[in-house]
Amino acid sequence: MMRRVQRNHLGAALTMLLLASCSESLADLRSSVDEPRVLAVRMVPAEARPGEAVELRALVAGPGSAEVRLNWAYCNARRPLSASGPVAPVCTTTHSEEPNELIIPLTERSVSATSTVRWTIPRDACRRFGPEPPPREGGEPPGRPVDPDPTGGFFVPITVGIDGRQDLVVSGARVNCAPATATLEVSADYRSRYTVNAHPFIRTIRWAGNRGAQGAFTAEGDTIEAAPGERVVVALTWPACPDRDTCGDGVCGPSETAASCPEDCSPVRQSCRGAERFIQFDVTTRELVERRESLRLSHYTSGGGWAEYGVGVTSDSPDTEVVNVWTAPAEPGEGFLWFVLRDDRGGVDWVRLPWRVE
Amino acid sequence: MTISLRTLAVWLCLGFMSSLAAAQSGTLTRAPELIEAPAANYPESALTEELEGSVDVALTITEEGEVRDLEVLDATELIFVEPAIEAISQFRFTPAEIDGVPAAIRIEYRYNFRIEDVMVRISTATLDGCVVDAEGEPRPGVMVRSPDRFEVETGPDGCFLITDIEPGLVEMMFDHPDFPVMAVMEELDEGMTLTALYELDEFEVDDPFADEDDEEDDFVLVIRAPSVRREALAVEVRAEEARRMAGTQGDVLRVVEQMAGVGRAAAGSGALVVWGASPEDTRVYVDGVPLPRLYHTGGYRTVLPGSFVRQVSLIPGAYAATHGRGLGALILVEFDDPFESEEAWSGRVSADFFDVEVSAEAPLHEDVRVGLAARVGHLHRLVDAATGLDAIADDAPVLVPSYTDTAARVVARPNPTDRLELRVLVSFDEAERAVREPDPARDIVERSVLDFGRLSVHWTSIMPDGTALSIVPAVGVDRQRQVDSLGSVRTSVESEVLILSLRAGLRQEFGVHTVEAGLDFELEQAEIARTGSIGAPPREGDARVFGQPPPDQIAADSWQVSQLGAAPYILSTLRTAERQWELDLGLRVDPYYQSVSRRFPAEGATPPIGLARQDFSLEPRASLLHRPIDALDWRVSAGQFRQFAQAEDTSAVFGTPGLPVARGRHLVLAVNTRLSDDVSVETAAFVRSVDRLAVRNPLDAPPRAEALTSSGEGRSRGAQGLVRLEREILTVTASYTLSRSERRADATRDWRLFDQDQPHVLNTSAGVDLPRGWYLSGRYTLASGVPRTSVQGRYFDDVRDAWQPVFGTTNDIRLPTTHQLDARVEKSWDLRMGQLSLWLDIQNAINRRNVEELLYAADFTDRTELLGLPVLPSLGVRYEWGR
Repeated sequence: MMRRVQRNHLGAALTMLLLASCSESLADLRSSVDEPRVLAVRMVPAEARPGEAVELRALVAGPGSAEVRLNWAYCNARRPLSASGPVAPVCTTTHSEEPNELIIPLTERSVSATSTVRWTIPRDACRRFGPEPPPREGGEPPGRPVDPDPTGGFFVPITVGIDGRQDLVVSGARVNCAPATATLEVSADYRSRYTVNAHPFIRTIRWAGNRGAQGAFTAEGDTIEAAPGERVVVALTWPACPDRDTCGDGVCGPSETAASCPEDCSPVRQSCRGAERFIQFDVTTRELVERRESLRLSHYTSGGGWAEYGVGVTSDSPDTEVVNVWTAPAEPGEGFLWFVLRDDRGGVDWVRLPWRVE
Repeated sequence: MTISLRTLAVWLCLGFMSSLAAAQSGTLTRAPELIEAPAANYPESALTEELEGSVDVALTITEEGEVRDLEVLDATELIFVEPAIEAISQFRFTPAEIDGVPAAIRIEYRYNFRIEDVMVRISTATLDGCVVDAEGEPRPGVMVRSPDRFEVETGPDGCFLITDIEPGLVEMMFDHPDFPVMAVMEELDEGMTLTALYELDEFEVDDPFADEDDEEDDFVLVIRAPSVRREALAVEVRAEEARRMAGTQGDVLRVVEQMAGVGRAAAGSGALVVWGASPEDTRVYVDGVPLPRLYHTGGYRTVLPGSFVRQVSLIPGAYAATHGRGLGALILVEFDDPFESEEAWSGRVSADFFDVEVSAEAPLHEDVRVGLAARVGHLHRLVDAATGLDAIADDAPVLVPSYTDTAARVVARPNPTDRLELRVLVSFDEAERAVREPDPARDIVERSVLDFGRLSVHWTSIMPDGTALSIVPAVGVDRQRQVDSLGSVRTSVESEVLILSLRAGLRQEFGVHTVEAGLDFELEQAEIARTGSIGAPPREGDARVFGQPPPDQIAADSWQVSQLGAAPYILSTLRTAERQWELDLGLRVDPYYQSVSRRFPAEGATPPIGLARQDFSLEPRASLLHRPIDALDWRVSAGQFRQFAQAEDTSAVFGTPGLPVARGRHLVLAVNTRLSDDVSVETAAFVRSVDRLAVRNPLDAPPRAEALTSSGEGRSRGAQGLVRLEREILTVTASYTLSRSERRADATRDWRLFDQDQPHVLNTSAGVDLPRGWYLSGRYTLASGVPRTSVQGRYFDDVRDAWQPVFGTTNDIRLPTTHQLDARVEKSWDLRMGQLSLWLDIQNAINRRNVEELLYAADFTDRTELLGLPVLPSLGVRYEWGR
């Protein structure tokens, strides 16, 4: 009759994890920048409504300073239920392949190391990529809405590729859609209490090496000077956000509204540039719940190596600092470190820090 | 061929020894005795004319008692000569002895033809039977007798022939020093020749309460007609054999992994793939009670303590109408009969690397016995000790379940032919693990609870006419909770299922015709809550790589499902008197009702609207057996099968509430040959096709509550061979299965390989009993690697800060072929109170590092192979008494 538990995925997966620890390890090259790469895409604002104009900016990193040309596109295809990735497979075809009507170029060409492009989020974004029923085609019944991500968010697929290179970057523009399946009361409450995401902010970077390297990042132009092979501990911080709502603290918290706290919430809801607290429509309880963002920091370098590619804090952690270790190259030279700070609602900040080994 | 003493006396009176002409000099010290005297055919014309007469012959009785040099001396009527010669030629005597030494002798003999004798024979009945054990091996030396009527001993082939039996109800008793006396009631009509096969092992019984002096008197039991096998192929392994097999680690039920047709399960999965069928399609029953699964988390242990298990059977396909609701194979577990034990108390204590098992059986009353078996896993504690971590909750390297399995029973014997049992099966399985990483996106939290319980009553009865009745009502609860978190992506499934089942069957023999009718009823009410991505866990055919984070689009649903199936069935077996042909026809009527509490996903304050669906179908099954010679038989079996949608697939969010019943068709042809007394070969070819499988809806924007469609199709076909050598101390089994299993999302697509397709599976095992209590066994398995989908490219997922693979065609590559050798050595000591055994089971004895998965670098620029476990020895000890 009914089958239950027959799929022992958990046991199998965990056994595999054990076996993985016994198998030949693979080098983690995610931090290595030995050719021009797009490390991150940042949309301003970090979250927008359908029909709102936004600016997209890419962080392009490379061992040298050669400029590259970027191809931007908006992918209009919904992710099928059978796809294991975050977007429809058709979105991942590179621009050098056959043109596809679902991939809509955003601009002819942009030539810049941090290429910027302006774009307007499609008006039907919440129907095509959000919680509202998708447009009917012919006499078909209403289609299945898209499920939200763990933060309750929805993303419109954006792709960017470096001209002449195979690897594509698939990003997403976070679109602000109210929960479509909530009751009217919950939906109204959501609209009055939800604060759109704001990009996090890298406030400080400090470093200290075991052979004397020491310093702090204050502005572009600061350089880490290290000895060959020196192990440099790098600490990065971001602003602390209030862990409770206090009217007048400059942050419009989840329990505050324009009516209850106009200082923080009117005319716009003031955001925090760290781990923000926000409300979310919980798909299980079908109620609004309050949660805090988690943040994670990715590390890149054009020389030497990082101990960890990514470090971060979970949503239940009050920490505002992460620490990683960079090992300087064995040979003298110059290069860059890149830091990309992401919150789990799609907000991004980045810093490029030069290094010199001598 | 033997003859009863009564019949021998009759024939000795019919003939006379006219002279004892010594063929050689010496003194006749022992006269020959006629021991076999088949009756001559009375010529029909002579009967019509009521003509009587006699034929005088001279013949030589050889030193072996055979008739030679037959010479007709005289005949009253020529018409009698030919039948007389034909009959006398088949006579057998005890050899004559001259001077105490067997010697040939020539005698004269008169064969009389009398109408009266013919009438006697026609008014009697004949019983032509064989006595075999449960494996079908002949049992020679068994005395078959009926008080004051006949007594005969089975020959080397286990067979006997009794003629001139007075019609009516005949009580036949089977007597052998190795068994208690058993009896069967047979009803014989005038002129009837009853051909029967008696399996003595089937009802080996013993009474621990009997006094030694009157032991035989207490062990009379009416046995039923031999069980009828209707499947083309069934593999059965007894628990004692399974427990000692290398690779089972002493777990009786794990023997199914070694059976012919069973593919190699991926490490830790416990997934049984039989003849290319999906693991979910194979059903498991314990004496008619359905179990939700066979393995604990990790696949290292099964969910039943093995102490009470008598036999494990695997029917890979085309099974009879007694069972249904499954498209794949059937695993049947049988418990033993506690009254078989000769001891008042019996029990077993064993411990090994994985767990400790304790079992005991004891009498409550002369005809009531109780038994309790419990198994408690301690592997997680060993991991704790080895790693210094709490394996159940801490940063353990692997999820190790904490499990407890219990079986309790009270068995009553109200009379020799009835058994009434109350049985409880309970299994707990819990595992939890959390791994914290510097990168919170790689944090892992896993929790799993897999519990079930069954309370069942088993009533079996054999009536005096041989009718067998079996009724098994059961109630049970399954509880599952599985939480899987990777970073902020959390997937959870919780379900609680109430199960009511009833299996009832009645089987009646009518001479060469057997009829069985019954009811297979199941009602399940499930409450399910699921949260997470629709893509996790992946479904069959989903392209994925090991370690790939699940999609992070989160949904949730909670719903109730009720499924009811009440399937009456009937089977009819018709066989020829010589059992050369057997035809089994079965029909299963499977009405089906399903209700789901939520037809559409929850939306706003709209109250849920349920969905009810009912269905009805006929599932015909048929099987034809031909046994042209004793050493060869072939059987072809076919049937239609159905399987209800999985409860998890009826979600309005994650599945489709109105999924129809999946259908399957099986066709199996099997040929079994016995090359010699100890070598047999079984071959089979099979074809299986299934349709209406639930698959993901291929549309980019499928309608609400239609995440799945029933357009999936599958097919598997193949052949297998099994060679078995069974000698007194040596058992060798080798099986090879060649198969191909495919799936497609709908009829417009091309066929692709099934996720678990394994075209080649070779399984060999051997066990040898050595002197002084040593037992050695080994197992070698070779299996094709399962298909995987290649990675053709990559892209960077900026939102999730992760590289993602670009896949090629689904299942376009295959993992390398796997080899594994397991070895086991066991030493037993017979002690005064019982038997002590110490064993060492070495899994992967040649330290072959099989490839279990493909492991990709985080940026998909490199790939390596995930290797399986190295050599894994396990030491165990067992003490048992009264068994």
